[in-house]
Amino acid sequence: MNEELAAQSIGELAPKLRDKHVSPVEVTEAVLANINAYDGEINAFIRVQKEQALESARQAEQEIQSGNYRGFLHGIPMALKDILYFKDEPATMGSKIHEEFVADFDATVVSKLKLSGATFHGKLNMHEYAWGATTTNPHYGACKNPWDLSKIPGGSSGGSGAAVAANMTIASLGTDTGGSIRIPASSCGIIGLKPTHGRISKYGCFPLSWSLDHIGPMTKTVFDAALLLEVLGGYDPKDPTSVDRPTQNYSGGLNEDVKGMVIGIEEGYFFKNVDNRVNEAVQYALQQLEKLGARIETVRIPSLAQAEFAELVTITTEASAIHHDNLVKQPEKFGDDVRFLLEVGELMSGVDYVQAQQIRRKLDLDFAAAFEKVDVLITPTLPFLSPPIGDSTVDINGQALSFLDEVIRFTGPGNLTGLPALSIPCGVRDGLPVGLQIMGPAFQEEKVLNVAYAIEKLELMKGHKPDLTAIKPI
Amino acid sequence: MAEGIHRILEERGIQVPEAHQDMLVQQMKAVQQLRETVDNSQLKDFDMGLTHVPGGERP
Repeated sequence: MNEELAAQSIGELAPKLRDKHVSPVEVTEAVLANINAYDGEINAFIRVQKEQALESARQAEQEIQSGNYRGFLHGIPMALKDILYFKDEPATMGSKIHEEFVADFDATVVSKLKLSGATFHGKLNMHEYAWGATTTNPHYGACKNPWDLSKIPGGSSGGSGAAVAANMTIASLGTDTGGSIRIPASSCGIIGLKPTHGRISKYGCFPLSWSLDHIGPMTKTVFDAALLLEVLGGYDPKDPTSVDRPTQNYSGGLNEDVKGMVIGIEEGYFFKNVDNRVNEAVQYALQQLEKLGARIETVRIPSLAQAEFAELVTITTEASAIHHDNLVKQPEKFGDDVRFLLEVGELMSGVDYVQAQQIRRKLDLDFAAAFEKVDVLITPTLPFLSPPIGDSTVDINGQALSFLDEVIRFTGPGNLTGLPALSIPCGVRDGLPVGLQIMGPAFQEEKVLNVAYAIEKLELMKGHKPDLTAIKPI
Repeated sequence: MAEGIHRILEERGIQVPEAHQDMLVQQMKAVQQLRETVDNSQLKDFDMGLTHVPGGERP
């Protein structure tokens, strides 16, 4: 019973909680039981807050019992990436330097979840300061991929991806600066939505790169991602990059009908140097969408050729500005990989940074032109399958290529442009999930969600899930 | 290139571990290659788009 409860989505659990067929305490106990069973191996959690979670669950139970049901999230246990502030609680950012840091206010997303009645049972592992994509954390231990414990879960929100995939939380939030929601979503076989920049407030999230950072849902289903976007979206004067645009009833508006929809593919950039197994899975999904009545059209986005330069310069420069003092005063407290990237950022010039921003402007216009011809773009989320923990290279069709160079190649443009992008699993190859990325026009998350919903209905993941029994302690 | 990198970081008060010195040279060579993809003449018409709201945060 516990296993079954923990495996359910928000959309499945919410009516049962509302109708008092299931108690928030039972659901919380179910995810805690899975943490107890699996997290010794997976290491998705930096901190488990068992007593606090059970107390909140009991409170939610009382509220529901007395007729004060708040909505879909009421009594849903969530664990969030340890970079989001909770008032009077530690937030480590996956670092040694902030090991003792205690936030004195709630992040806006945390406030909104609390108001919605969600409960919290822990803080999730991540790449140190979100500056990397492996979640091989030197201070809190490597997080492992539930699909194959020898492989990385992706990052930087690797703990979020692994915890959702292993049913150790019902849903989670991640942050995404170059792909850190979508990369672990792809690697762990779940949904990861990076909304339009400015759609969800970043207030109370420790920054990696202000102009590229996003917060978004990491969930088991498209419906859950839509629901969380609905709850979390909206203007926040405390975040200077927040945009005052109306949100929608994304979950209520989900529509799987793709007939007549035009799906763009940019072959020259997004389908170049892709692992054959990944390419095959994405192409199969595209064929199925075509059978449902969507039209596939090729587009060209010439400025993508400069995207890697713009991403590298922007993220390294902004991150090094944030961490400069600590890099000077206590460099030994950074993990070696993060320290190296911070040194790289110190070497970029002002001209590099300004040119990178000019390239972003050009990308904005090129993508806008593409979206005049197509409704959404589809790409692989990653050009490779999850590599082994500790490897600095990835294998793409027999070629060993730099992990760092390859990992954000397809996700980075979504950060540079701020456009909404979602990763959805589209199959399993050699025991590992493959993610497909859907990108849409600015502030039109509903288009991205609808295509994702259509793909989910294809049941490309049917019969596939991580073999959690293999990691259960005897 | 190695000397230049070392000097810039030293002037900023940053101690570079010996193991990073070659890696930084390789990384900055890769950045230089990427920099060559940037055609400045194609960029001159693009405003960098950096915005500040006069008066600070909006109400």
